[in-house]
Amino acid sequence: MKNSVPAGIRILALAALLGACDAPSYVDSGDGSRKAGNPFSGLTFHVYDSYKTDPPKCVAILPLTKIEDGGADNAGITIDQTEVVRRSFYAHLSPHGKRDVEIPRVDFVLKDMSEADRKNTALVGERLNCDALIVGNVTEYGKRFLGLYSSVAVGAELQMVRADTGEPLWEGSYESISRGGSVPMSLIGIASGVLDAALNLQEETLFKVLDNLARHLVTTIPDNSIAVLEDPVAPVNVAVRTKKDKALPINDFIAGLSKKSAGEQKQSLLAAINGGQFKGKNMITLHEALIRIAPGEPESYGLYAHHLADEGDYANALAYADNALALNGQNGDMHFLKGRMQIKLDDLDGADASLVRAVAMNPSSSEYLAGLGYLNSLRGNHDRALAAYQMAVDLDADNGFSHYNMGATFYNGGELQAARDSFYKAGLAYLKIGDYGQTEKAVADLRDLASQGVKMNNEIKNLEGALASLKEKGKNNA
Amino acid sequence: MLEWKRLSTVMTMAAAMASCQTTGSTIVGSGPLALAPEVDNNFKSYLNLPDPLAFAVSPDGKYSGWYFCNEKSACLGASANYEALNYCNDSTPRGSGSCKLYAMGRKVVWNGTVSVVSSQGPQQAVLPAVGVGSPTVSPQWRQQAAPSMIGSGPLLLSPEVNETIVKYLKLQEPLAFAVSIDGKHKGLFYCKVKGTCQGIDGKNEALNFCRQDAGGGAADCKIYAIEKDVVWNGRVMVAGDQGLQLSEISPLMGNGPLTMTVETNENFRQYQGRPEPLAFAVSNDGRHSGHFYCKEKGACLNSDAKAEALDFCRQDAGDSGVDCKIYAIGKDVVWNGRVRVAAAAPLQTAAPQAAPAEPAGERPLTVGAAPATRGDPRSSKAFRDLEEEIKRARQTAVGADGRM
Repeated sequence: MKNSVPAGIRILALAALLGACDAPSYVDSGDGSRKAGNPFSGLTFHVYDSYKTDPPKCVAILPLTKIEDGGADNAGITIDQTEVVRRSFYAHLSPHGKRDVEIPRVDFVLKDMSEADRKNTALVGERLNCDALIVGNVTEYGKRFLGLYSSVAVGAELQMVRADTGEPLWEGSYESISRGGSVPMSLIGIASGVLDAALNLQEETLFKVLDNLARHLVTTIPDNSIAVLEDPVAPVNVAVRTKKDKALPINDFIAGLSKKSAGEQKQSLLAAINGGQFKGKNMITLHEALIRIAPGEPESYGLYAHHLADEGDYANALAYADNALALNGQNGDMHFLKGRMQIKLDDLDGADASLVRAVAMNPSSSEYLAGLGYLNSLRGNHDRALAAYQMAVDLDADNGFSHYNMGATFYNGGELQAARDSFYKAGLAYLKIGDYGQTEKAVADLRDLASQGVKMNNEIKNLEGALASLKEKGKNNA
Repeated sequence: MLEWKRLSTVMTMAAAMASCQTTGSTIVGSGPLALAPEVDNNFKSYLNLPDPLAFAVSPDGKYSGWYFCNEKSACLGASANYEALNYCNDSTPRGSGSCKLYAMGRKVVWNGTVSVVSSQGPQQAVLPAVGVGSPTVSPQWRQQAAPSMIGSGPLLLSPEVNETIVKYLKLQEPLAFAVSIDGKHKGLFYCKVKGTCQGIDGKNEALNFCRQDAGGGAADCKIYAIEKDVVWNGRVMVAGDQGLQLSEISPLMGNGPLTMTVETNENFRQYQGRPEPLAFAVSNDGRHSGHFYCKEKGACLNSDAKAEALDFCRQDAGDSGVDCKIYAIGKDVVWNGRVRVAAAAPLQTAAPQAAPAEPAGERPLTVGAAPATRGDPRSSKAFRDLEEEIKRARQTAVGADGRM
């Protein structure tokens, strides 16, 4: 049984934190009242009663569309840009207490559905094994010129619906704008990894605007439970770049290999696989060619397994991980990948065995132990989960994921003081690695604990102080 | 000569690549395959070669051809497939069909079940190969069984057979389990890679293995489980540790068909994982359960575990009007009838997001045992157990080849 936190509390707590860095107007369209500040930057949202009475357990974000007739501001919107908005939104929603479906998995499942079936939310929900879907439009994306200065603007209007009935659960719209090149926010709250994707200063501005949009929209979605974080290594790849495919046609590339020695063929294939010029089916061709050239090398199968996992093709990723392990059973990374895929495919017992093997092969990996802990949280084996998380933090005291999940486990087990200590350690660990969004989440959880009468020894104050100093730093850098 | 050979090899390889860009390669074998003993021996010899590259087999499993390299890594692997296929086809009589790849390197790539035709006694199980191609998972596919194949009536399993059943049910994709009616012999059939055994009749294979295991004795074999569903229509008990006898009949014990909910089944699975599970009761509609276990082995000998489990189950059922019966004593299922687990609604199969509460109707005993301090997981039994498990896995890793 989850310990639920009233929806409004979470929204207001986060809004208060965010308000310190940037102040959009939070307008709940349900009662029409304007909650705060900036008349030029209205954030409109509404949480439907249905959400409050029966919050979804899982959310999947479907591909967003662009508004075709939105005027000149929308002219520059491309599919990739809508995808960037979607992934940024996912990056912020992911730490919520709900389960989410990774974006590559959503796309992999949708790929095999007809256009008509994709519009059937019940069917999409069933295929994704997820009870709520987020759909919507990117209303604006790109550069504007306003008088003396240019600005970068990204806007979106999104809706969460219950998959089986299509009834609305939440909706929100917002337009995030940078003015004259200044950054509209501090570093606080940027989803982990987003800025890493920027190639230059202009892109950094764009990503910050984008992140601002996603962060504010997600803030209005009630995070109604304290739950363990999911897959510790699930990639959040925000930047989806439009690349001109300058590579040879795949058939020419493969034919060209025949002039090379076996070693050179392998090197060429590896370079092509890692180079990113080829995509989709062409990548499959490359991987299969590599396997045919080096059929006895587990690395060929392992590389393909990782590719398939990243593409959301979990069943085949598992099969190829098995192939790799059949050739080399001592590869901890492959046991770990196998375990992750087994989790995705709901073979939790099998995953436990795989992850234990992964840990055995690489006893110094805090990440593998964190994965084992997460799996056992899923299985309801909380003592075993805590044991694994503890081993993970014993190896790496800065493993915020494990600290946080220990906190969530203690919290749900009613051990609130132990939860406080773990959330605090998680907040400190996330501060160290610069994941300020997660630090905020830890602070929000500590506030929940404080509201339940758990005595705080400056934990909230310390974390908020650190966040505030970062906010100043962010302002100065802006 | 060497140059010509290399050129020839490269051309063959290019052709191979051009024709094999998709996963559904036509050169890799698929479907059920029965290897002749000679071919099986050839394959074993092939595996011992310094650098085996490819092994091909005729569709009837009677002929083979292979290709290897005298010096490790000195040969081009891609042409090896075609060389092996050529050798195999050359030795296969016309009309026997084209040879297909059975292994690449030391990896079996045949996509289907593989058995060895043997006169040396029963084969316990057939392990299908891991396919290189894309296995198709078809959740809709379910095996069917003729009523006469399915066992019925009271069954007393030997501890060995029971242990095998437990292992079978933990397999990723078990297909069928057969038991002799005296409960002493068994045969099982399972799929190693999920989804790759579609269309294979696991029941007949399991029955055959069971009959071989029984050595043609008087006891015939019947199907005990299809996939993970126990379909034996009658009371099942296990001889041995618990001293249970077939004649032990109690009105407390459940009988008749039972369809358990996924939640009840999960509760039972968790109960089985307890250090000393004592009794598990289920309501007749399969929706409610209660169980009783002992935290310390042997400390609960004086407890009336069955009565406690029934009590909890009835509390869980509340005023729903359904009665509860004993489903398991210890780890042994004693329910006298066919048991199925209801298919989960898709949205109910989602893994729980937060730590759920303990199952309803549970009253763990703490006789003589101090509760673990959860604030410090290092002092918990789970921590010690996990440490031990990892240590064991590390020890067994030496020499492990990753196979089941």
